[in-house]
Amino acid sequence: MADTSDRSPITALLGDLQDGIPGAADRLARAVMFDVRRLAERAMQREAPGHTLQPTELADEALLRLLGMTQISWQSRAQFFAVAAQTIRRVLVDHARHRRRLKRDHGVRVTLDDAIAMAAGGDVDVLSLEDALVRLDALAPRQARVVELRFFGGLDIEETARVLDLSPATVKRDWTFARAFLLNALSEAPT
Amino acid sequence: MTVADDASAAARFERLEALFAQALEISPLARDAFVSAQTDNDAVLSRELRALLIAHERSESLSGIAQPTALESDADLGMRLGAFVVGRRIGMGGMGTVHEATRADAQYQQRVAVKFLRRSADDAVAVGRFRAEQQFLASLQHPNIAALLDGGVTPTGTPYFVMEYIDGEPITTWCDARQVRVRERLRLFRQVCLAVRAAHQRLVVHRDLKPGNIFVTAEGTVKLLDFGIAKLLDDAIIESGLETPVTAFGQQAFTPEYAAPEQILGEAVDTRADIYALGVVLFELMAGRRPFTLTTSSPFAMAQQLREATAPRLAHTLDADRWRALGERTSERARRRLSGDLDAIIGVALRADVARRYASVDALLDDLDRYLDGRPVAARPDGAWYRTRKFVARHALETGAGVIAVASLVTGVILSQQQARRAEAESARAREVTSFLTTMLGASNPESFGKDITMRAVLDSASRRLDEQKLSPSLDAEVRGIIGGTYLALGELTVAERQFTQTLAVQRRSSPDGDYRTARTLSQLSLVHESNGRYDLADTLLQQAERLYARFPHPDALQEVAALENRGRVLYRLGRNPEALTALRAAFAVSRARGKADDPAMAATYINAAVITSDMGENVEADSLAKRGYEIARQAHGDDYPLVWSAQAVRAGTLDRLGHADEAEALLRAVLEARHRILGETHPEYAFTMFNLADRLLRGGKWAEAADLSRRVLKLRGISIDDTHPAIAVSMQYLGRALGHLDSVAVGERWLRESLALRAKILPPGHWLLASSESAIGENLVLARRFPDAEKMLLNAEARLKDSQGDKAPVVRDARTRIVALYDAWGKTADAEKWRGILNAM
Repeated sequence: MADTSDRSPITALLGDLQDGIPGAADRLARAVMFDVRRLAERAMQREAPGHTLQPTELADEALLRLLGMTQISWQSRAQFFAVAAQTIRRVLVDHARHRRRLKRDHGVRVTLDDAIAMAAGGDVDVLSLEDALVRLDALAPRQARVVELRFFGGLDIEETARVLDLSPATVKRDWTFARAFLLNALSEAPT
Repeated sequence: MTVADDASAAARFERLEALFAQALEISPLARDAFVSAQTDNDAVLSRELRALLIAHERSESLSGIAQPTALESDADLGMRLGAFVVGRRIGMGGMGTVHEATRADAQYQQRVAVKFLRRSADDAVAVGRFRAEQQFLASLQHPNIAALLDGGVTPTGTPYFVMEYIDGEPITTWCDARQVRVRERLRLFRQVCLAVRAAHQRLVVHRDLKPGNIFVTAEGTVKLLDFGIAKLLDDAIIESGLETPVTAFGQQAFTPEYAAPEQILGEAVDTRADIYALGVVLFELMAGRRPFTLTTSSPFAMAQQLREATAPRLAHTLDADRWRALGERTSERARRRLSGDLDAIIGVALRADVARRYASVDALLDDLDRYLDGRPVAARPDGAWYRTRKFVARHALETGAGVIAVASLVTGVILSQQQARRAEAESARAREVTSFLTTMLGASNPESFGKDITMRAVLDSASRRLDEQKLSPSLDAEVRGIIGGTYLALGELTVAERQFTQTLAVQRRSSPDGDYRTARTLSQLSLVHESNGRYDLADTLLQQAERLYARFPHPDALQEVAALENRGRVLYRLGRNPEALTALRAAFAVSRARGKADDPAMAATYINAAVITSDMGENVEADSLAKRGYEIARQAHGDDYPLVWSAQAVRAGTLDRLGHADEAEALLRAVLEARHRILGETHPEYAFTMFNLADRLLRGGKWAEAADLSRRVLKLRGISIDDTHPAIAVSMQYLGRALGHLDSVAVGERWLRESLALRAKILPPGHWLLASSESAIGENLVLARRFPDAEKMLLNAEARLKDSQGDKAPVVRDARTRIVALYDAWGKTADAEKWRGILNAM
């Protein structure tokens, strides 16, 4: 496939997003979605069965490809990962569902937060995680968003706080709670 | 589901969240009771909350900061332990579960707490720590420390101990609930300090002081709980040699919110880490919140945050209604009560720089008393504390009660065993020296040391006396040499250096040109410099020693061997492999000529020679050297001796380079298993084996497992491996290369460049590893199809590697393989053929 995408639109979209221009987030998401999806699909095709993916590395890779070595601001970077996080989550889940339909037994596993992964016995089944996240989202949407940004976008507490416009202390509390919630949910789920 | 249902579900969930957050604020021991009290008529809520707390403790215990938590069922219910019958679980601590128990003989009602440690077969470290805790608590009788009543091992092999049941609340909650006023709080806090001081006098650091471990009973008595990670520092060193202190880093169980920066970083901690924690507790006791909010989970970032932060002034941090809890009538009064010297006291306790903190609990107590008496405190900028600070800093080692500094003993990759062995020998000798010095130098009153005499205490006392007394120069030099060697074994580099330097001065006066005694001191002093990374300086000293030994042979041939070994190691660290090998060959010649060729002390020398020989591409010779080292070590010490596995690790490398890839991989997996068993998860050697295996897998094209192992190594950065250790840069390189092959070329390149940057920071310019890094980046550029850049980088790196490592070195082979791959990918067939020819001729 010919890569016709110019690099500047992403930078411009990030600028728009920061300036609060309506629709910027959607347009950025579409641009990011395309590249992240392509990367993720390729990575998954090449992986050996049963191997795990590191979603945040996909986001890193996507950012580098889209922006090259262009210096972008800390805020733009966080915004980018916030958008990429949703995309990566969707790509992983779609892919896992597809696999399940094909009845490939090993599913898709990802390496996320270390504590969760280790407690769950290595890494985490994408669909079980998605189920747990959907449940969390219904009850506590803010905490679910924190998880999405930290797990799939690789944002740290400080960055998550800025993106969601919360205090770092709140993010930390949400994160601690959400982590316990998910770990509990995952240990109940059949693997 | 109706809207009303939704709303009530959300409300329930909010309550669950709030209770969860509150429960985390209190001690794990008190959580169970808290849950029961808060959810007594709601079984579902209670179950959900408990499940979340258990999940949380699991995630905490796995996050690398706290210890694995024993999550036992109530299977032990009703079990009899000595005179006690085990009842319901009342909490879960960092080390295990705590149950309530009562006396079985019912002669009188006695309620106690039983603490179980869940033991797994490979958890020798935790069992050792548990025993230390037990010993410590049994020996420490203090009205403000929860008493130990009994201890042992259950029939199923679980270690446990029985302690006084404390019916109380965390000091902060206790005070707030009773609206205790500031001065009264300070008096309670004094009790805490007195208990901590008692522990410090026994050379024990608590290391996990926090309100959850500081209870106040209904009668208002302070009780310190949960010495889960404290241990007898001196016993750990004297009795277990190296084994226990090695666990001192990487295995800490502590609470980051109360931990001093050096503790968070996994550095050696002493009593001053407790002073820091006391500072946090004092702040919280007054302000109702902690001075800092940690915003990261990375140890480095945390420590950085603490270094940059200053504790806010108490009066400026009070919540709107804090005055009520403090028993004041208005907010303004509360603020006035808390302004002034308390801020200064807390400020000095919370200094990120250890040397600038209060040097002892006594100093902190002294200032508290001054404050309570209305006298000016020493912590004020114009106070006495500042004037004495310089003096204290100079004597910090004498005033800090006990310091475990073992990092210097486990630094090298494989060669560190060399130092470990030496330290072990020093440590064995040090035990004899201790008794010798006790009588010789403490002759006036040997009992004054008490029965728990520590080597440190004797050494410190001995050096002081030595400074005062005018011994004959030769005796002075002799004794200082012994003391210095022992300090070195303890990892006390600064003090060791002082002793050696003074010894040298004395020896130079009596023998201006030097003799074999001077040579030995020079060799010892070089170990200090080596441990500090000053390799050039160490090399200069060792050259002098070598010249002296040539003229004045040492009566003990192994001393001469040791100097040559030291030199070989230092030269290797400087990247001067051929010279390093020459030094080691000289060591073999001396040992053979003087009948010491098969001495157990030679095993490490053989292994080191194998490492260097192998690095130079002479693998047949390397393999036989490693095998010799393996045989000597195994013969002398048996299969569970770490050095045996160092030899096997080296053999895996030589087998690999001789083309036996599968055998090498299998041997490495065996070494990994053995080291995990013998040394534990956080021992540096375990990490080193992981990256050796990663290397093998990388070359076998098993990218995913290689990347995984490298990530695991990098996670130990700052925990069991120092940031500047070569293993870190190497692992970054491995990860970068593996990612390149896993189709993450750009991320891979970032890791490779970070690796190069790190190396450039650590290594001298022109070091061959810099060229090796560049060659790896070149490989990545090929994957990125940036051929001209790749060509420039690869050819340049190959030329430099060939110059410094010789034509047959494996790194040169790697570099050439990459060049062939470049021209193949680029379609430059003629160039590819030319380099293939060069490669095949190797």
